[in-house]
Amino acid sequence: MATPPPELLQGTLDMLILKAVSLAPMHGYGILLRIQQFSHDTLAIQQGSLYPAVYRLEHQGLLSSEWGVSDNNRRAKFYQLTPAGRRRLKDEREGWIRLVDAIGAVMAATPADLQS
Amino acid sequence: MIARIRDTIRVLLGRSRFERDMDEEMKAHIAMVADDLAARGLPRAEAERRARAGFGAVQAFKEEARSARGVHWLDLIQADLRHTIRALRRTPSYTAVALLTLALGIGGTTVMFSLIDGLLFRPLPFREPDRLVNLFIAARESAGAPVEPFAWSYPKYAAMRELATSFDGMAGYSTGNANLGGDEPERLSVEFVSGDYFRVLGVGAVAGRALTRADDSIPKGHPVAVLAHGLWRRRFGSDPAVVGRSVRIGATSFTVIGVAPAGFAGLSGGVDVFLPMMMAPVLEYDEILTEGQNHWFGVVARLNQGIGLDRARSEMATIGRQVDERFPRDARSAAWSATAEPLADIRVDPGVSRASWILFGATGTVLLIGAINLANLLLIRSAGRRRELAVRSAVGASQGALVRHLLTEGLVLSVIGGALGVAVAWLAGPLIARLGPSGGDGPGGTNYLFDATGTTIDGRVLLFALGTSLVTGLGTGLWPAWRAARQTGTGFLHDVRVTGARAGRFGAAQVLVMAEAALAVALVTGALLLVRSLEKLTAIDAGFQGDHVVTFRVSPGTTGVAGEDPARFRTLALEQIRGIPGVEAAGTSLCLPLQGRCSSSVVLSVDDRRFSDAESRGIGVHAVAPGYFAALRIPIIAGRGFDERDRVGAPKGVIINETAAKRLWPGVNPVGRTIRVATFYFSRADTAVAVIGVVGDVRYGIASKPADLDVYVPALQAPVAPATFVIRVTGDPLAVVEAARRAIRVVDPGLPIFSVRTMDEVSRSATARHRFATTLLGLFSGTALMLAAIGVYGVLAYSVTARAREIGIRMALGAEPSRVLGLVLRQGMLPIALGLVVGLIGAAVASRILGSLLYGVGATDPVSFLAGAGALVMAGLLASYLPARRATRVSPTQVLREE
Repeated sequence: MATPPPELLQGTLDMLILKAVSLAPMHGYGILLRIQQFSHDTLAIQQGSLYPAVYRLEHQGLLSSEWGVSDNNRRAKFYQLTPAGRRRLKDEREGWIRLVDAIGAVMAATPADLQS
Repeated sequence: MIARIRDTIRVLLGRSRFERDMDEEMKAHIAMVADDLAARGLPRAEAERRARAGFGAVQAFKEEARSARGVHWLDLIQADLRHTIRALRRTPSYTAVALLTLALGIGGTTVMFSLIDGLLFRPLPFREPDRLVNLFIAARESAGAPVEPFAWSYPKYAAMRELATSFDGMAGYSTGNANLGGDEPERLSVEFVSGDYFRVLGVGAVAGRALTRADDSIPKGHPVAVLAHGLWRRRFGSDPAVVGRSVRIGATSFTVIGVAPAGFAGLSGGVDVFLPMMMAPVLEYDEILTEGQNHWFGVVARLNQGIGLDRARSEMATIGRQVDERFPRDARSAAWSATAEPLADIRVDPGVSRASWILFGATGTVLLIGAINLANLLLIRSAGRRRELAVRSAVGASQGALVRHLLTEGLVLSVIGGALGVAVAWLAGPLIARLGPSGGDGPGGTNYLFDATGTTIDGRVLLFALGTSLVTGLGTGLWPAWRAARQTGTGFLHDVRVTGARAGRFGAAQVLVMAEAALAVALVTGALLLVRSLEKLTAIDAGFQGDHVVTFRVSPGTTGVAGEDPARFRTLALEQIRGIPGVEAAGTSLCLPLQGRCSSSVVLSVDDRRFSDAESRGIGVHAVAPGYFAALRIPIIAGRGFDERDRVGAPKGVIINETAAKRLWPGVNPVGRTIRVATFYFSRADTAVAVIGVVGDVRYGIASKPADLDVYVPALQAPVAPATFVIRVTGDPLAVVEAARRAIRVVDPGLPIFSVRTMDEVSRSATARHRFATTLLGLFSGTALMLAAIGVYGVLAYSVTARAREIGIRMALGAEPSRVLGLVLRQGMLPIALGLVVGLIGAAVASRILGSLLYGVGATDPVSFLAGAGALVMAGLLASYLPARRATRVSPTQVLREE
């Protein structure tokens, strides 16, 4: 087996779901596929575990849902962002970028940095 | 936050749809994955298998998803409830005992609460009842011994009303009686009221209008009437067209101007019709509104907005003095003032409310015993289920879950038990109400507004029952839950049976049994004290024989034979009645024995000695017609009773009772002596009369109080129309009532008879309050004893089961069955004995609250205490014997084989 897929940081799944849904209304399986595709198959999410997260987001009023028909002609529930969800996604993304920059800066530190 | 709650509620409301959607959504997901896999060439079945496996544990995700939507806790409760109900159904006898216990406890408490609520807590049914007060004439503070508050005379009332400023309005009210004319004459209870009465109380009319001040200004000038709702329904078929019609009340025609609302029967209670006070001279007598010293009605007043009771009282004190000084009074009589009391404070006879509180306490105790039983049963069950609980705890059920589970069981039982209890209260309420003593006269011309004859199950009572159930459920569940939670950590998973041996120790269950025994014996002892009091009360010789005696009243107006010539009416009526077959003797009086004193102002003087006001108040004056003493078999000790000689125009003579004879002429025969009597019956003048006889003492007041001085005056010489007939017959006293009614009609065709009662009923009503308290406390204490016995039985029976192995081994080693019997009996009786001691000490302290309900027995009457102890020991022995006998039947071989 190759290196196991990296553990998702706490809370990042929510952000990924919001991002995936922000592009177009999407059903649960679609969200997983989209995340997998964007991450070049690096992030593998246990399929079932998506649903508690989606339900939590809907409960918080960040997602809304309605029934529709999937590409392969199956009845499926489609999720889309609510205005609150859109705001949340923006906040999350900014927070994330700051976090990544900060962690990146730490990880990129060299002995030379000790001098300053 | 609000959005989340809304979401949860939406999910909860559409619960089945939510589940369906979630199921379909996940199924669709798996199907789509399978579609993709199949498209890559996998066989369909294999594709589906992989899709399912890749998805993970559907149930777990569903659970998490539900939790995410905030419906998780509901599922937990549901699961607990399901589990509890399953467990309860598995053990029907346990469940039945627990529910019965709770139903009795909660039912009893609820019915007593509804009684007390009606008596004491429910706001008076008037507008802003807090502002209503009763005004009384009262003794000045300096005037020596406190005197009961007094009613008003019309002139004093009018003077007081002029001066008072604290009130938004005031109104006099007084009961009277009058006969309603028509095809069927009927005795009416009339309330004479001031014009402002309805406005002051804030009571309107359901048809027509209420009385106003304009209807009550000129004496004899307002022949108008407001019907009470009851009379309107009974006599006029609730016909609104009755307004404007005229009805004959007494000898006068009154125009009906309105109908009072249902539920309002006057401050006097039981009122049929309201008449303006100005009409009292028409139905009573001419001077009633002008006599300064005839105090005959109560006054209700509404405090001005912002005026407190203290302000009103101090104003009344000042005005009371001024009024008193305006009306000349006897130099020796006390100086008077006036005061105010909240109307709500005189709503109920203090004796009745005290009895009701005691009974409420008793039902509370029964409930407490029931709750202890339940706690014990839960404890035993949780002990019996230790293995199950341990397993649950081992597989990860949290301690919280265990506690929740036991609490749920307590709550489920108590809520169902509470519902059954409400049913019990609903059934028992009318029975208890029938036992209840009825209202009666309050202080100073008022009447007690409420009596213990009505219970209603309404929202307040239901809320009380629900609250009681929940508290009981939490209380009984919490304790075993706490113990179970504490014990889960001790690792008893390995061998449950070892714990059986611990049941023999004096553990928690035994402490509970002890508490039960203590409470039960205290209640039983209290009940026995009351039983013995009642026994003594009924055994009192009140001075007359009431068997085979029937009584009824007539109250003529000023017309007809009876009104115009009361003496002739009495003579003729008694002649007619004596002619009825089976009548042995017949006479009349005004007041019957045991009904409260028949007081009227009287002043006696013997030789030169004149009685003071205070002394005179203790003297009863009775106008009796010949035959009264014979009818009640009151012995004539000296001289003679009244007879035909004591007629109008003949010299007046009086008869005194034994106590009066002893007190007024110690050691001397009073017959032939002269006494001066100033009484209403002799037209108020000081009249010198001869004592013609002495009769035995009769208790006219309460049964427990010995007779005071009584003076009998001849009714045939006293111009008073109303009378109570007393008739002794050979057979069933009620059998002659119809003949007596006809006899009265022969003499005066328009005159109805009323208040038909046998003398035995009269005697019983005199002890009604005691009978009420005794019967109920007896019932409650019996229940308590039974519950305590059930408690002992339950604990022992479980212990015997749990110790079967130990007992079997003992017997295998040669223990005699009698030893085993003794062992178990001892185990059962130890907590009983300890409880007995505690309970008797408690009873000795608590029995003082029975106070005036006790008669002839001390609060620590040894007989009652011994009998109470005996009852508990018997119940305890019986409850212990059954499990003990079972213990002796344990088969050693079987027990050993099980090892």
